[in-house]
Amino acid sequence: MNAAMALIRFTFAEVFHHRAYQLMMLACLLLPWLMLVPMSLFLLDLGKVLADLLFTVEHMLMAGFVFFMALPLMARDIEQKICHLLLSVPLKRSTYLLSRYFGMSAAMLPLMGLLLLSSAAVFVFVAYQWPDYTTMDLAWHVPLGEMLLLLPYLALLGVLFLIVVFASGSSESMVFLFSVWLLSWAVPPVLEALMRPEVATKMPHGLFVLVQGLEYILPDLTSAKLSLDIAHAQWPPPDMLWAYVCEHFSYAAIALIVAMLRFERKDLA
Amino acid sequence: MAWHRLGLLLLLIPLFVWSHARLPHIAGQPPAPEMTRDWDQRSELLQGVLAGPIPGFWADAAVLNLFNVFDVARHTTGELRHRWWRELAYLLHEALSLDPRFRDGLRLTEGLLGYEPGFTAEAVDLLEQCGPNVSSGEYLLVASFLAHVELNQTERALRLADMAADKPDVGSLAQGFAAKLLLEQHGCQAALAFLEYRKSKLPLVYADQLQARIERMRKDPECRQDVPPANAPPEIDLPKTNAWETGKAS
Repeated sequence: MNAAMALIRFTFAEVFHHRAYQLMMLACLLLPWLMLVPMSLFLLDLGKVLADLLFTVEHMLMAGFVFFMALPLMARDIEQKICHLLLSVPLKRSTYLLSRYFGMSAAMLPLMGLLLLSSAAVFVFVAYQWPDYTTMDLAWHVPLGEMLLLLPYLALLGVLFLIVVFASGSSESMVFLFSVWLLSWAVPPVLEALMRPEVATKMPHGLFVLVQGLEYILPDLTSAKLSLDIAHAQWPPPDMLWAYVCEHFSYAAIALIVAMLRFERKDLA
Repeated sequence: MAWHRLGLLLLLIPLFVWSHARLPHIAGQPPAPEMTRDWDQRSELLQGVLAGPIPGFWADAAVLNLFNVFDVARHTTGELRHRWWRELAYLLHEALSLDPRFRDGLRLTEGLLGYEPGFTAEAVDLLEQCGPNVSSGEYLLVASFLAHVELNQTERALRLADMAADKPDVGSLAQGFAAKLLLEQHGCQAALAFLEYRKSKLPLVYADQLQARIERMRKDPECRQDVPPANAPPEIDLPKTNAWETGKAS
């Protein structure tokens, strides 16, 4: 247990001392205020536009973290056999993977904390400055929404571990992770369009069942509807939110468990 | 050797500045759209795929792009103008299909597309489609006005005004407008019946203005002479749910 905690702290410190990570922390503080510039170009829905911009900033920062900080670190561990050093503590392979995962997840929290504080502050400012064009509710709606939007990236981090233990190196990991990310971006709207009654009625029954099955099993990491509702200060019903949270934690857990099973048997020599 | 590199660098900097300044978006002359883009189901699907997890931002970007297009479109004439306005309509469709509650998109649909010859019907379609999604009824009321004044579709205008009357912010205005439409088309009795119907959907505390309007109509000499038309009052597709009872307007 102590060794696992030590590795979590070590992973956090390793990420934290990266200059790129410190720049990301600065970006989390400054970008919400910079978003006031594009927001001021709009006419009526200033609060909604600012929320959209902040969610986009969050997507960029979190995707940047997973692709350019977490992935190189894990790929290097396995490719350059640095994990041998850590496993000789001694540490179980599965504990090593879990500790690395929790360490990286913990490293996302300071970024999120700064982004939440800065977002809340910028919304309070906007609500005082232009009270007719936004609502003070967004000052807590949007930070809560940002916390929910972190979940897809925790799931993506789980998928990253799964890919890294199967892939032969960092390039392959990058290609596969990018493909998963792109598919989770592009596939849900297509499936949703195919499930519409006017399209579904024209589709052969077998194909419709296939599409239905695909929609059921494929991960939807986009959370597009959620961000749109929150930007309009409308919360989805609690049971839907609960399902959303469970769904993303399940993706992360499934990916990590399969990764651990594979890593136990991986030839690291 | 270092001097050669420095000389080459000094030559390349003006070349870069010269070429960059001639790019269309820097020179302020965006190229006219090569071909018109019509909004259809495929466009909707494509934009949904491209927008991915950020449909709100994608809708915002379409509206920002629209400002540029409008800036050029208003100074052009003839076939070119039509092409630019088609592009503008495409961007509005894009913004509102991704975010049907986006008030900037609805406001621009009303203000720009609604009054451009040849695009009014499209604007009314968009407002009718997206208007029910926003809490304000102003867009439905505008759609009703456009349908009546610009398209001469009174039945549709009545339906839209009735939908607008369910929204608390323009309720009385929409009722007055719908009553006027009925008065013009079907006479006083139909207008009175409509106002009575609207009154029945309001809590009594909010119905004073409406009652006053009904009283004024009843006292109007023209209305007194009005004989109920031979054909019965129009069959208006009035909504069955009451917004005040369901709590939407609370």
